[in-house]
Amino acid sequence: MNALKNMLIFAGRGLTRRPLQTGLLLGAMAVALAGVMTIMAVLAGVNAQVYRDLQRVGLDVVNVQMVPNLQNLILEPLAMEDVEWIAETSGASELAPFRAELAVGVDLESQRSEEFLMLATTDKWGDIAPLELVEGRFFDEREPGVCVLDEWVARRFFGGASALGRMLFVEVGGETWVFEVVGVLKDPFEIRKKFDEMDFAGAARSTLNRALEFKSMYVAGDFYDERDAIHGVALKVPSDRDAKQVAANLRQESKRRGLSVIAWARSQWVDNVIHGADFTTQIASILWIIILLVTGVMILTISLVAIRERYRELAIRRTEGARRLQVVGQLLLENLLLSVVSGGIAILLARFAGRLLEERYLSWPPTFLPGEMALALGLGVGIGALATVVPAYRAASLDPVQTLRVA
Amino acid sequence: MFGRLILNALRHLALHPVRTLLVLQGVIWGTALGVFPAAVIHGSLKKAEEEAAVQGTDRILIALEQLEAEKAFEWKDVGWLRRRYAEDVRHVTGMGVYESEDRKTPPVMATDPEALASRALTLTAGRFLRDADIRDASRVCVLEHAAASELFPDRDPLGQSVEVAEVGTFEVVGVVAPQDVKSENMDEFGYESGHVMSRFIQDMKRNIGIVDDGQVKELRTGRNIMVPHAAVPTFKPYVIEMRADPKAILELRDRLRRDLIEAGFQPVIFTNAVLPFLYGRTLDTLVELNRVVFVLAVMVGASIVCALMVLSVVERQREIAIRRVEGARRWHIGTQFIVETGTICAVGGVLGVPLGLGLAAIRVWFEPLGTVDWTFPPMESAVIVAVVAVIGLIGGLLPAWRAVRVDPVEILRYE
Repeated sequence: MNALKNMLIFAGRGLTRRPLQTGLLLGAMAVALAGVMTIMAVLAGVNAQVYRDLQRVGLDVVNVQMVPNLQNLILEPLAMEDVEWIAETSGASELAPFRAELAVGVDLESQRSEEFLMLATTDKWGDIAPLELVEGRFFDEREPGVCVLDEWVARRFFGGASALGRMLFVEVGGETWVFEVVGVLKDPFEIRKKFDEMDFAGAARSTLNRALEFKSMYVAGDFYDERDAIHGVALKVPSDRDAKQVAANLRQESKRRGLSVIAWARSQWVDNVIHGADFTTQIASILWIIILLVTGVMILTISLVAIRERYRELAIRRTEGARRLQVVGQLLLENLLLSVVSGGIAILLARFAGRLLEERYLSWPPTFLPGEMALALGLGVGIGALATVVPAYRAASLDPVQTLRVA
Repeated sequence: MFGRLILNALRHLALHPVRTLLVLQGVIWGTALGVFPAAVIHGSLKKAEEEAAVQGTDRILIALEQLEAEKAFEWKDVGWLRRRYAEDVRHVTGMGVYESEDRKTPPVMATDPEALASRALTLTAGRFLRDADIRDASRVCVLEHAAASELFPDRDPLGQSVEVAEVGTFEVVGVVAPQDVKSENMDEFGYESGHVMSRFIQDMKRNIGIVDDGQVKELRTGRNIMVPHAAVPTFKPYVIEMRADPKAILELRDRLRRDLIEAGFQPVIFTNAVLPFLYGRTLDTLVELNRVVFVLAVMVGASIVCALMVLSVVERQREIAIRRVEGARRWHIGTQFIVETGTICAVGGVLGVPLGLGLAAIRVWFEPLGTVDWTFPPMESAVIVAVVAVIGLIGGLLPAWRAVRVDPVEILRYE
């Protein structure tokens, strides 16, 4: 115990006696490790954010909709009796038919115009997906002349200002309508705050699938009127049933009934997207593996050179009677102290860099996973130790007399 | 004088090959990380503009999602778009592909004279459809290459007639050349079909809700019989294809969408997937982010170079002292250290450029988007090498200052 304490003190003195070198080594190692940690955290952060965002689309929701296929030139829209049949077959606890059309809206006050998906649906829509309102309320049953906006759309029109009570002129299907905004739904997708533009396929997406973009305007539809054809149904599966099972069952039953619709569980879609995101991150991980390797080589370099410069000192220690193992131990301990301290500094630096990146460039918080941080730290310390033991042993094995005489 | 100083510095680098090499590779990596993104961005920009027709970076494809009957394109809509976008769009054409029920003959594509330019086709024989053919509803046709070899495997198709069930007989007036293999293997977003990643791309497309583009796919088969649309008046243009300046495509796409929606259509518009990255705001963010990474990498490199040089000053105190005693001035020795670090950084910088290009080549190989490419970016490379060299010189100041402060008498006496 005492011996260890003495060794620690000795190693510490070895470091403090050369403050400039120690400082430089510390700085270089800390910056290198912090770089690796930041990149790891940024990549882990994307995945975590995608996961969090997708949880909000409603995992117990099943979509039943007409087949979005350019070659199915004209489909027979669903009728209200089909909707009732779907409700019965699925045993849904809540269910809302919808009709989806692309529309262009104009805010007369700001003269801004935006395109979005206009979803005509019922007041039940608000009960199906987890409903979080930024302001206002969802519309009531068959309430005409009012609309609810997704946050993404509201921000495009009104910036940060309140949207409640504003009037929108909406062109849809060659006609113009006026709606008063009564509510704004919270955007489930945080991640697109700064990277929305990267959705290169936005213009090519099927109208019916665009409901999951959450860039919509919701209005009350009257589905008993023939002009409001039904394009699909969103339904909430009771908590004791599996959404994927319900979707599969609906697919089968509707084929038997001769309905040309597809049914899919949002949870299945979420699984697919997360799977894809995982794969992409794995490819991106190649990046941090390269950087980790480069960092490792740099740490190796520093440790190697740092020892080469100290042959004389080590020779003197040997002539003073220190054993080989003691010399190696001393160097190892010094290096260990150095790596641990620089690792600590690196964690602080990485956190700071992460916050800076989040503010300026990213729309997700970098996530510092303990496992990954430990990996980076372990690698730093491990490589440092490895890079010490071999040359230290060599240095300790040199004939001290020879070394001193040459110098 | 200077020459001797530099020679001396170089000799010292050569005397410690391990150290020199280790430091060098650090600088090389730093430079490579700086060059890599510039190489990919420039390569892709170059390819997007120079091979626009092949890559489809100048193309907009418009299809309609028809959930209800009355919202299909008419031929007059093609004319309306052509007039409305006359200033910004080079060519506009409409196409409707129909396969006869017996499937004995290749499909018939009703189109107009602009198809040649809009679809970036070239003629191998005869002529293309003319305005007069549309006006007179002439029963003539132009064969795509696969249709020509399918219908007339051993004859010159020109002047022959083709009979299509339910549609009638057409006289062959021209044949178009096969499209570039690359563009034939590319989907409407510019993804290559035979690529290692293409299955992943298919899954991704489905997951983000891209519709099955049956009509759009028909355009690439190379086995259509192109006829003037006036000759087959019941055929509607299901897909509209446009060509414009790649830089303007994104903005055009948004305008088109808005106009079409306002006119009551439900458009599905395809453009090359690389465009938002090359011409959108995203690129600026990425470039800025890359610059941060580059500065960080160079800083790490410089601090390591600096640390190593300082260490070597300690080791070389005796040597410095002897040189001082021999009559070397302080600034000689200081210069020597600055030259040493400067040389390492300059050489590392120059060698880092090819490594960066190599990284870029690997990155491009992994990329399923055909338009992503790499090239040598001369300006950026020069700037990065210069920055690395300057940082190296500055990094040399600290060890130089240490070396200068060595008191020769003290050191030598101590020995």
